[in-house]
Amino acid sequence: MRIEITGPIAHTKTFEIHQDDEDSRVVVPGAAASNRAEFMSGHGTFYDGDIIVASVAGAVKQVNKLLTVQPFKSRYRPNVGDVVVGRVVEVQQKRWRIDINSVQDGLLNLANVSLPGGELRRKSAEDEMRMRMYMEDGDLVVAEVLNSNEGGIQLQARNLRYGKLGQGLLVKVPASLMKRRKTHFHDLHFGARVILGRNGWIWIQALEEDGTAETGGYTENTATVSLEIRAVISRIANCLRILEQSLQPIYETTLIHAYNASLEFEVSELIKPEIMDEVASEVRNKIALSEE
Amino acid sequence: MDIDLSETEKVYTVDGIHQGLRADGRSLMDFRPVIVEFDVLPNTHGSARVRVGGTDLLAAVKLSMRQVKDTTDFSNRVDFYVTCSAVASPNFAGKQGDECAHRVASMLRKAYRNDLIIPELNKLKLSNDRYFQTKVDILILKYDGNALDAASMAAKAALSDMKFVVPTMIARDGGKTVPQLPDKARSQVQGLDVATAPVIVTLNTVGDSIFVDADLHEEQCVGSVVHVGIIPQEDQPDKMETDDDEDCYITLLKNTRPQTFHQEKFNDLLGAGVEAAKELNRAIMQRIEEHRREPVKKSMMHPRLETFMR
Repeated sequence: MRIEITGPIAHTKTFEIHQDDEDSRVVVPGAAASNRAEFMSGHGTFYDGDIIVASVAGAVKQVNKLLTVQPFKSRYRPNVGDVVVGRVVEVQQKRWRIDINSVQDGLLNLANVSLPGGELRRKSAEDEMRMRMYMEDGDLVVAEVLNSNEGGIQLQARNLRYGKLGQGLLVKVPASLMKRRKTHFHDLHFGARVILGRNGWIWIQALEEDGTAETGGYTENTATVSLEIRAVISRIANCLRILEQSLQPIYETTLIHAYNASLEFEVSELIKPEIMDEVASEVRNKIALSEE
Repeated sequence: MDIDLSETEKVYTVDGIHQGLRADGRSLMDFRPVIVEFDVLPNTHGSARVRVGGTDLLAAVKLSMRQVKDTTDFSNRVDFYVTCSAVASPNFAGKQGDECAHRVASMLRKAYRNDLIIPELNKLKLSNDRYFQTKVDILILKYDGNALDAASMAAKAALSDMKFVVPTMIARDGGKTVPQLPDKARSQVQGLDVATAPVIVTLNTVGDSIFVDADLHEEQCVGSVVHVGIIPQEDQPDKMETDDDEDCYITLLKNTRPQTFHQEKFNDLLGAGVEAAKELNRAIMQRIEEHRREPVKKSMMHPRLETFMR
């Protein structure tokens, strides 16, 4: 049995933040952001007499006359077109209620789900009865945000690449670290497929051998995932945690950098704080280099 | 503690355990990195903070003086009280936090309820009618599986950090005594040798595979859970290097799920548990030693503030 008990580890790798962006100031709750005459208070701020004060910890963003503070740690704020990974909490009459780490639950309507084989037809009463055969409470699903209003957050899974998820690993990180990209599905060359949900929930699974098998979650691959692929999946999961801990934005580039930097260590070593620091600083350096 | 996992996620986790590779790359008998800090709370007689992976908890020792009719027949046991903060995990909202807390506290109490524990606790029997009651309070700040093992480490670490003064007892009428601080109390501060404080290791099984230190996800998939608590024997320095087979006493053995074991399998399980607990004990005693040898920091405030700034 292996166990290592240590004292608190000082983070050895320091880094410099290049404050090029003049409008990105970091504030804590209670810090004065500006005075009332010049700006209007937006999300994350409030008026305190003559001045605008931040109510959350985050970066100050200014758009014309509107001053907002974007919090570092917050629930996911849905935008139309975002790809999200969620967990079914309830099967309702014609829709599924899905937890997507936001203030409201996501709602996936039966009409917005594709049928086996990619059929697109109007759903009948029988389909309604068979909802549970497709997705039950506790199942994970990947979908796209259709729109969001006070009624709820509408999701759609009409494309075959969306739908129920099978065997794999879910990693949860703060939603604010997920960078918006053109695509959120990444088939990585080391043998795994990663879905970077914009809500901070990231799904890692084995890559299908025939890369064309996108079935909308209707066929379940029950084959046991092999040890080699498991090692890759675990490594990716640990890399994501490293990026989370060092507060670096998560997208395919940082993930690939982290993966390559992690290869010199064993997968199980990647949970040790010193090694996490090591890999995190490698990624930071690589990103800094590529930006020059 | 029920967080939903989909069936396929459970299948993935269980298959991984059978293959010997867990979600974060650990093998079956690996613990997550453990961080132990001492003297983290002011106004306590001893305190410690233990982090096992994502699980984070605090232990504080308080001595309170009690008066009874006669202490000679009285066994002075260490009392435990555990709280699961509602912030620790959304699953602790309402009564569920209490359930977890009661379980951990009752296991610890059971493990500490015998005469082999820390013989120096006898010093706390001050006179015929007064004694120091040792209370250990544990607060679970964050829960990511395996609270009991972490709690047993925290209790041991906090007791090792305990500092107290044995007061002079002045006799009064009727066989009663009254405490009085001795002269130069500061130089008479004592500690405890916690070599014989128990450590508990939780063994989880899935089919035929046995593993330790389950995280939150793995706890949803286990078949059975067995807690093994041991009391290490007194340190014999000359035996340390050569003898791997130190004796120890088993103080806690509890099967908490409705699962039965075949006799042969159980022998393996017990063997694995005892070995794991001995290893855990070696590691924690080493950390306690390491802390003792650290130069005393000039300002006592530093360690306490720093620990919560991280």
